[in-house]
Amino acid sequence: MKCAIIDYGTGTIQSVHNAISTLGHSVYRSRSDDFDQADVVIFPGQGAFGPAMAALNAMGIRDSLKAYIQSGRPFIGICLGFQLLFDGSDESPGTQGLCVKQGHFKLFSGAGLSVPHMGWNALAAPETPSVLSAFEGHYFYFVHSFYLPVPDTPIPGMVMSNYGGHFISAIATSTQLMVQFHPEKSGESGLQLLELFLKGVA
Amino acid sequence: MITKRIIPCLDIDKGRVVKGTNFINITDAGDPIALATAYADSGADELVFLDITASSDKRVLLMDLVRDIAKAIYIPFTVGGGINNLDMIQAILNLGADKVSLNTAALHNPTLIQDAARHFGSQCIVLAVDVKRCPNGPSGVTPPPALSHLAATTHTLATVYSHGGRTDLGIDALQWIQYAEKLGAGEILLTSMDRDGTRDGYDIDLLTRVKNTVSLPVIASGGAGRLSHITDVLHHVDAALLASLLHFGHLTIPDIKTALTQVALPVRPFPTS
Repeated sequence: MKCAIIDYGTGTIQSVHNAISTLGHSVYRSRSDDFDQADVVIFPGQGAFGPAMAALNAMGIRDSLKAYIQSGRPFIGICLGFQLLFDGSDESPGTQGLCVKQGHFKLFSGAGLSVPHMGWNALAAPETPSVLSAFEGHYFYFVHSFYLPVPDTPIPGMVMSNYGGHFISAIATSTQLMVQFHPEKSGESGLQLLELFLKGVA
Repeated sequence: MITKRIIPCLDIDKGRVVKGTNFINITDAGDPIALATAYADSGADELVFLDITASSDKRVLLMDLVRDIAKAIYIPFTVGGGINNLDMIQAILNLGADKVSLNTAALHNPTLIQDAARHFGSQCIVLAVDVKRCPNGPSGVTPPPALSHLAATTHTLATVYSHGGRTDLGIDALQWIQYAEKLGAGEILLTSMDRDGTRDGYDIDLLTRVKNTVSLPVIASGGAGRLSHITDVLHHVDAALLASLLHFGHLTIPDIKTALTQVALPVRPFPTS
């Protein structure tokens, strides 16, 4: 399959590139609307919420990316590329995200809680069956300081993890995989998840 | 629940691993890729590569190595050793490293921490701190101008050394770490020079003080000699860095994770096949 990785300059994307390549798929980096020609769009990310949104605006792909995701076409959002799908984050007050999903990210805090949440953490069972069902209890690598609180009304396909309380660590539908952790850095479990998901949307 | 991390550290000189001479099932113990892959396959949670090359072609060698590592392993890795500017950090991260570790350069130019955190995010900036206790009071060394506000006092527990532990900078370790957190460091790698190489155990008292001083994850380094040292220290900090104990085959990562499980500390399961 042909995978486009959105390259908006604030994150390092080589690891994602390597992981997708090693699974036997072709990869190109997109800095314009040409992501539209891919079978799967991958939206990675590291860095801060505000500057990342500014980069998407500057590249002129904010609306086209949003439309792509809303269309339900195959999509993977990773870490900051997960956070940016939502309304906003305490990291960058006043900056609006892509608003594809409803929710606002908050800073981890609590006695004895190291921030950032950095390391390997487990996934609970998904709210509704998905590609993530096979990974209940598996450990994935997380690095982030802001988290998505669990809403009163469950988000379809959401998965929780625990760090000083529950937060949403992933959301999966049949064609879209949105994860707070880094599958490309999560060893065998991570590669298996990517492989299984890509097989499912092929 | 987040797990405790076991992090093998490989010293690299001119693209080759030094000190890694007795690892099981590796025919070429100097090959960083083979060693890294073996550790990743046996359940390492992260890897640290410390480049000790002093030659002028250091940068080229290092970049080739980072590129190769990123294609061989799919767990996080940190690169350290002589990193002293934003371009170098960017190049290393772009090639697929997850974090860089800063030490001497940050002590000479603390704003490097701030600039690096702003550009690349705190999550990829590990501050490595080499410290030595000063039970007889500070040595009287005058700190570098940029750090004069952190000068060691009679209350100082330990001072910070630069240049691979060769130079006492006369600054208070806890204050330096606290300052670095404010500047944007994302993680602290604390090496006790008093314990390093002794196999007498980690300096848990000092590590606990560091842990209580900042909210950042803390990686313990220096002094591990047996399993109980590792299980003891991980009751207090987030991760343990290990070198010779693993390289010489005295302990394996499954040994360590089994012992951690027995004392009810959370670990990422290691492959059993």
